[in-house]
Amino acid sequence: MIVLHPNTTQYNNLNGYRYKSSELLFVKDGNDNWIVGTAVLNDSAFAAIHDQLNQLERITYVPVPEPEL
Amino acid sequence: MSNNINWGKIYESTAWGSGVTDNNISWGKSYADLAGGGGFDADYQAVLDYATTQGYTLPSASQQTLQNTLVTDLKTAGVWSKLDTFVIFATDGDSDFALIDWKRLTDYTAVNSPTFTINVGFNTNGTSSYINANYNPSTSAVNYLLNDACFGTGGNLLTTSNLLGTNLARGNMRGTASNFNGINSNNSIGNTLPFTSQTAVLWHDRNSSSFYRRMQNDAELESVAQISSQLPNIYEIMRYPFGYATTSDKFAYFFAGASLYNERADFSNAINSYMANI
Repeated sequence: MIVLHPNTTQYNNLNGYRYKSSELLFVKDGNDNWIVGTAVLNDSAFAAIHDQLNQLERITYVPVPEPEL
Repeated sequence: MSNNINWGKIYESTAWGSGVTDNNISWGKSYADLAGGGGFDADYQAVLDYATTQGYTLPSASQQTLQNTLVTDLKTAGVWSKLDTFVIFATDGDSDFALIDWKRLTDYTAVNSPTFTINVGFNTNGTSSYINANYNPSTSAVNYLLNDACFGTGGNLLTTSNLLGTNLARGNMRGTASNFNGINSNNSIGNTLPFTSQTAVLWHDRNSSSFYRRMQNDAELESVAQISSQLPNIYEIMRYPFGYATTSDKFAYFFAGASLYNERADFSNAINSYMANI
């Protein structure tokens, strides 16, 4: 699955963006990369930052491994 | 003779037949002590009023009636006053209306664009989207206590899914048996039975320091010997620390508050009645 990966500058510019009840918060994948799903590109709540989101690197999502308890 | 009849004032003052006239009356305040405008329960009317103030799209008139009935059913059952947070994602209002906490009149947050489907609710993309209840029992609980608490969700959920629970056993619920399952505890004591219904109210309930119950509608699936120790500080729906629910899981509502074990039948009936009629 393809997800969006920001560099440090992009992360700092975009992380925490809010509009009404919506928020963009990058999360870590299994490779310790900050990522966000591509659904944000079609979310009208993020229309004001769509241009910036489209500039993020596309990478393949790596699931976070689950530890044994 | 007055040109503006203040029905609301009449009700409020109970000055029936007094002959007092009032030239500054609004229909919006009618039945102020009895119900909200439109004849709805005052607490449900407050939800509608909050949504209107925020500019959200309200549910259809017929669904407003159903939602009002849900609130009154929960009150009749003695449930409403025990809840700290209560949200109905499954609505024909817009996605913003679907995120209103009916108890606190605040908004849950849709993080990273979970998918909203009218009259169904939300689902995650499986990689990053979820809903933050913006509810922290460790600092802002009213009814939710260490040994008197519950939380749960429902909709159309696969019974193998990671449903929610960023704080692991302090507030984690999976469809399957797991050492992560629990409520208000740091003890990773696994349960043994999975949920078996995709559409039931699925919840964890604790009214003891020594065990909690895995509930499916009004049925106690399992009593799990897990010692309470700590309140969660966050409830995030559709994800847990190591992953997310599946994209097929449709979350229709979420709730948390005091134990509802004694009200379990009326509570689950009220929720299921709403879900069956939308």
